[in-house]
Amino acid sequence: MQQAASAPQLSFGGATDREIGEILAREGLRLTPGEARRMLTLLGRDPTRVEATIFDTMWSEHCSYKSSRWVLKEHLPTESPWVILGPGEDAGVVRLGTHEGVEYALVIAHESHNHPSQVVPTEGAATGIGGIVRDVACMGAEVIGVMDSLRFGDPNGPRAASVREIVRGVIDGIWQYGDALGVPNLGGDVFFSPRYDENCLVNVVSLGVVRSDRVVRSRVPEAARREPYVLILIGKPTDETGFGGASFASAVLEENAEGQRGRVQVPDPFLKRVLLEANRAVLDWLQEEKVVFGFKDLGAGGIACASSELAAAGGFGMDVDLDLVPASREDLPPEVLACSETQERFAMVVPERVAHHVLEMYNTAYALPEVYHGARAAVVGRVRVDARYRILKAGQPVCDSPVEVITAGIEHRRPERARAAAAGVVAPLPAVQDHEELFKRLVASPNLASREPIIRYYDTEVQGRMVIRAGEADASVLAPVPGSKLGAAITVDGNPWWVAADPYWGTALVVCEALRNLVAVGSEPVALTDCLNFGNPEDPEVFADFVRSVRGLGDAARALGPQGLAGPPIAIVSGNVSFYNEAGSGRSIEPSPIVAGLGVLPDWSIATTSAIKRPLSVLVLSGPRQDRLGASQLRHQLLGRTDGPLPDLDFERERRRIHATLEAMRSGLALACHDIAEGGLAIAALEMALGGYESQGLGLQVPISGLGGTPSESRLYSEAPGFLFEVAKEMLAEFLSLFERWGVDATMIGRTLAEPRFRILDGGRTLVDLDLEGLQRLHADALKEIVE
Amino acid sequence: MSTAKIAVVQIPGVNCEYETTRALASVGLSARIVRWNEPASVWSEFDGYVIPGGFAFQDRVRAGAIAAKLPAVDRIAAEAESGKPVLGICNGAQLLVEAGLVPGFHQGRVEMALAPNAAPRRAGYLCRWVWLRASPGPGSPWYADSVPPDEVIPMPIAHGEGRFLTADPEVRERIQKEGLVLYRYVAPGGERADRYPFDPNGAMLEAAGITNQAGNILAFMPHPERASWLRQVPLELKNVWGQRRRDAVGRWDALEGPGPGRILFQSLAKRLRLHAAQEARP
Amino acid sequence: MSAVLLVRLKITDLSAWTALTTGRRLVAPGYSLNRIAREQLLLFTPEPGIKAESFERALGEAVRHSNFFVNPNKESYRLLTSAERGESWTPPEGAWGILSRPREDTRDERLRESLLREHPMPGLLAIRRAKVWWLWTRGPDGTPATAYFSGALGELRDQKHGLLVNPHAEAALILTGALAWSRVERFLTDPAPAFRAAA
Repeated sequence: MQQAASAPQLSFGGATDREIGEILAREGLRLTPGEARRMLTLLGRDPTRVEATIFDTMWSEHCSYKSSRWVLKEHLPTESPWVILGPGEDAGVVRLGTHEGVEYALVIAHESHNHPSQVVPTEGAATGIGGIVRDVACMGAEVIGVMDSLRFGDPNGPRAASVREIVRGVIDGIWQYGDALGVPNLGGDVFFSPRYDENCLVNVVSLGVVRSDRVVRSRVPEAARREPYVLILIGKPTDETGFGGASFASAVLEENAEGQRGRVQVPDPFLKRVLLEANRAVLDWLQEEKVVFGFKDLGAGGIACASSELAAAGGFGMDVDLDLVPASREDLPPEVLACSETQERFAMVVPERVAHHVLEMYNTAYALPEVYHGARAAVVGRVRVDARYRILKAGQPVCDSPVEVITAGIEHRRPERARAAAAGVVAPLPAVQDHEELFKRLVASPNLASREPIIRYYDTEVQGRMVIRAGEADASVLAPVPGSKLGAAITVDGNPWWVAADPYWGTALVVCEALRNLVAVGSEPVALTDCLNFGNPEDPEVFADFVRSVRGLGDAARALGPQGLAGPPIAIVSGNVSFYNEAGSGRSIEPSPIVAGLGVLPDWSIATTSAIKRPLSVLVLSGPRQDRLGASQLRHQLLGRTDGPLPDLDFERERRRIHATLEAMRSGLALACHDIAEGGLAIAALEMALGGYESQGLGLQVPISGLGGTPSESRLYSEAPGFLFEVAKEMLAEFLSLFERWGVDATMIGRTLAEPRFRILDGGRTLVDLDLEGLQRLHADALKEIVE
Repeated sequence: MSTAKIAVVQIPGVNCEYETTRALASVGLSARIVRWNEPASVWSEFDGYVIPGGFAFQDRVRAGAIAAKLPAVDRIAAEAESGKPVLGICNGAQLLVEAGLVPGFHQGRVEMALAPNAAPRRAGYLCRWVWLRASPGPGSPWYADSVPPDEVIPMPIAHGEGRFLTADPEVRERIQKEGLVLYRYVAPGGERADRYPFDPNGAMLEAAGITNQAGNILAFMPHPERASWLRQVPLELKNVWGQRRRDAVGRWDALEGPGPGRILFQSLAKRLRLHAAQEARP
Repeated sequence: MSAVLLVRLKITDLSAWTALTTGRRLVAPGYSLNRIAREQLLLFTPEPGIKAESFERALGEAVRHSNFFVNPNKESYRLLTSAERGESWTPPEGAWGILSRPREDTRDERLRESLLREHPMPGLLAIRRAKVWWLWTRGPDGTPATAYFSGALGELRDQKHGLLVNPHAEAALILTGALAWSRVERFLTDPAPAFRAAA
């Protein structure tokens, strides 16, 4: 073991756990004393401050997955014939198809940016978008969309003021960053629940497209054994923003967040756009010249993490010289230079012989220093063939270690304890007196109201690839390759109340919903990503929730592939775990796995929206309504509770329903399709009648007496999985026989009307009979007051 | 006859250059993305210029303010004096206004602003489809003469500062009198856009696009390149375009056909062909 | 009795930086543009009869604890109450200023409503917005040459003249030295002066 000679060292040798704890606290490190001892063993000596900071970041939950890794490995399927690259790099890569002899792939990444968004909502959310876009861009892909899954507290509860401020701040951050970057927003979802009052969630997904033969890897290539390679750092000058960001993301939020505000990175979409353009030109040039290179974005842990991971992934070492790093100030200490999470930076390893040309492209052709104060590309290090990793400052090593010591990671086995079942009987629902009034209240409730007031801030049109945009259907559809028939569909889903009621089945229901959304637009589900947001993993009940949720996710992904367990799964190709979503008060969020689904269409032209399109066509239901209203929007509306039994889920039946729907939509047998989820049949039917943003002046009449003898409200608001279809009369026989062939139920339950009325009938009773224009206003305006 | 060449001007922060280039190519024009700092001699090679949307120089100081001072804009302005067509889309429109190229009653003088949207109770960026009608104006190459004057044209907008405004009453009067509002926002049925969201930003004269006096330079806030293929039209649009879009579901060739925004590029291509034919005549 | 909030970026102000680099190309030889800084100005006016102390205390709380005005991650601020700010506003050492406001109503009603919904503040009548550019300049004669520079960099006239203010959307006031706060208040409160086309 080499000694990092002249650098100041932290003296742990011989210290007790308590003394180690004191040193760690003084240095602002979040390592535990046990982890610090492990670091000493690995290094064989006391660490320098830079080394301790590196371990602190690399071993944070955010970077190391130290609690979750074994759970994910054990339960999640990550391979299928669609997958080119599964979890492990910055993003997953999935086959899209071939156009004019060229194979294309989709690139997808999914991450959280929760704590920063709670503390400084606008930058927090913007940085989330910025980070996820980098993850996709550094695979060599063109970024063609972002989505966001947002969880906010109760906008009408005791902390309404702060909740609303966060809602607006987060939305501002998303539009200000995404719109300026020129990446369309493909939608997302929003859920309000009191347990997010003090810890909002901002999960972001990014989608890209790349020629399959041009996927860029984040590693030093083998060619670096034959000729000298250098490390180029590109982008914003390094500053102290976001120093300690990964550790911050891996800690419980303090009651008084004031002190944490300076921990949030400062993103800049303009510089990102300029960098993406320059990267595009540089990467194209390198590929044309057949130069082998490695490329990676800088996220948590900054230069140290990116450079050590690039080196380790290729089996190399590296010398990084901090004196060559463009910095915002001259006096930044080495640990800040090495580990700060300054945004808008990339790292590239290229042969030394082309470095000059690469720098020239960034600094002269794309003029980074002219368009952004202090920005540039600079050579800051050299690849070593001996797998030794050093960081130098003023010629002296401030970090010196075999690279695998730094990147090996750490693991913790956390104890689990299943939550005790709730005692006593589940409180029954009160009888519904006035169905029309209840319906109106639900339509205007925050979780069911139209997302239009939010979406209008987002640029949904830029890049011109849109086929079906956010809010028009269950999934967004785009044409990633101009001039080609190849289509991609994407959705993101999660329902914390379902998962809180039952982590295993709740998560499985979320996966079903994601897949239903994909097939509703005629796309074949080809991959999933996940972002698993939970509380403190050191709490055995939280950790048990986590394990059960991951099992539900994995089992659903395996069971719902086209041939079920007999065939390949819907692979999970990328993801993220976010623990410690808990306020200083000890209140933890609901277990919140968020699942994104990615679908592929051989011909995007078949995709259609969920809006009804013609008068006098038939409304068909698939998916029996169950007398189970646990964790439903209805239960919350009537009782203010979200407990109770979830709808039953039968994987095999759902698999057949999903794939029957895919076939029906691919064959053009339905004019519209909409999945049934939050708010049940009644809300799904209304959403079809209202259309995305503009109703067509048509209406719907839905008699529910044929759906069995359960109470009307169960038939209307059960969140059991299902679909509604609008089927033209002349297609009905063929449609029904297709479902029969799959052995899946399909029931006619209504028809479209030539006039804008919305009616729900039950036997002789008219439960709802309302003018659609009024309902449209109710639905469209409810969130305005919160977001505008 | 060689294909007319159009420069799509890439200023740092612009973000619509690729789809704009594709939309120009879809009408048979030869479009190339030209970086703002390419050698000054490059600009004269082109027959027309499109300044695409985005956030040039991050809208620092004001949208379009910094980009308007670029040497490249000097060159383009000089080329435009000979009648070469220039289109500024969204941020490009902001640039043209800040550079004093539109309306240009007094050569070079800045006579308008593109101010923050004014909509009841709503601030910030707005992205939605709007309805437009075209007026012939002063023989502009950007006027879609193939479109009947009563046709309502849907197109998306996406901006936070799209409100054409002048503090000079005389400028306003002349814009109106000389018919320089080539495209105006209307209600879906073609009536006057007397309220939000049909009037999405409170622009004077409900202007969506204003030309210079010669008609060859158009500052246009909507995004025609995002409506250049039928595929891009939302299915829910109520007028004939929505119907066409819905009827085309399942027919890829039809959906790859022209959308309502393509008219601007078609008019340009037609004008440039005509121009080339006249030049070629002995 | 109004309170003034001045907010500036702690991180590099790219608008000011670019205004500086662009501005240097607009000035004639012999004139030097040394530095530009920018501040957002918010003017808070209470309803008549409201006690200054309680109003200013509530305002201070709202500024410190909400994200409405200041983002402590990248901004710093000065809250100038009527008591402590003195009679007049003095530019920073060596600088002069261009204060600009929208030509139309300077009130931000939406901000006021949102603020009041979430931080009840009795008696807040109006929040008005403006911004100020501070310039450090020097002419060939060694003076700040404010008249020259306000022509070269102030109100936009054409591609070669003016930058910081578009007179069709904004009105401007030049601060060459200390300016009475009452003047500043009037400038923000009165209707903007009629437009005069540049000669």
